[in-house]
Amino acid sequence: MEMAESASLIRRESARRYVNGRREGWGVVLLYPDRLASVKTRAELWGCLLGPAVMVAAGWPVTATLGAFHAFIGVLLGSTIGRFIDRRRAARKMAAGGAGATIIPLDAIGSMRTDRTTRWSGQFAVETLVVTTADGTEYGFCGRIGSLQTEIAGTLAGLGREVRATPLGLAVTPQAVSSGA
Amino acid sequence: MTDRSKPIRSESTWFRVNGARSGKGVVLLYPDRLVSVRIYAEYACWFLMMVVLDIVAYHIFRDIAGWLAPAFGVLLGSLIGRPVDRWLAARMVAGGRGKAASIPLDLIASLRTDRSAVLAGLSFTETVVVTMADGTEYGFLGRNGSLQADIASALAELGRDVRATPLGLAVLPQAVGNGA
Repeated sequence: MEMAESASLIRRESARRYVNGRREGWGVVLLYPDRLASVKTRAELWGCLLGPAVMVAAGWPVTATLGAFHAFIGVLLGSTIGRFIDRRRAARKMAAGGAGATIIPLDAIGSMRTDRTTRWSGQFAVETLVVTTADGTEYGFCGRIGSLQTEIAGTLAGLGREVRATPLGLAVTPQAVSSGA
Repeated sequence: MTDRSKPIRSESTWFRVNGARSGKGVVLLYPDRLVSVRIYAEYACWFLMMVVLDIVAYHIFRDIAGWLAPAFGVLLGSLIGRPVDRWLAARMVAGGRGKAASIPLDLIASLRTDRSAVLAGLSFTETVVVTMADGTEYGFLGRNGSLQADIASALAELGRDVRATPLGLAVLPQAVGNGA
């Protein structure tokens, strides 16, 4: 069962999660063939905190004056390694039953869009993938999620759902309900 | 009315044409076309920042900071160089200067993103691949984020039918009027 769960994982990304615009903490979003799962994890945060401490401590005897440089590199390395650990732990947590995880069945998705917030006169952008379910709930995933939106759309298409591009994002055509005739 | 002279989005990227490398620059998405501009200001920023940081490191620490100054030079150079690249590219397109290649959105047949893992899965690179009606594939490698979805939205704005498939996004051919 555990093997099947991890084998079917299509993609996992570190992201900050929002529900209806409200921040819900750090974690990992995982895409499976039939659902999206969001698992809370904290290794990246710990990496950001511990990375600089480890780097400064390791470099202190040699380059005492370069503390700030080392701290910055520590943040970069710590967050990269933490993100990697987060993604692995989240997949294992889901394989073990996914206790505490938020599950969004792909069948319940009504539309998707990516909100871009620009900083410094538009030179830097932060992207949030917003998944709106049929009941109107908006799940936001903020981070370096890249092509996750189109990957979810591809998975939905694989399930036989019709997903069309609109000027505002991707819309999932509601499933036809059989009349029983 | 949409301003067709202003880019909707611009991204620093490496270009590929039919899988072969074709330089570095900026891809700009306009309401009716994609424009790729070859530009290398980022490399100039790398060099400049490496020199500046070496000088700073020498004056503050009385020592050239070994590998740290070049490493930070590249990091800072990228941070500064990419926005400079994008700004310059938009101006070059507006002024009709430079090495720019235009891809009309009307000729796009499909879009997909190829992902490959680097450093044993620590990180990933993504290439947005735009396939034209004549089969030519234009690849844009870099942190393009939701560029693929933005191109799809621009196509939808033009009235084109773009649908998701398990392999990416397919642009349905335009219906040809029968003249009736």
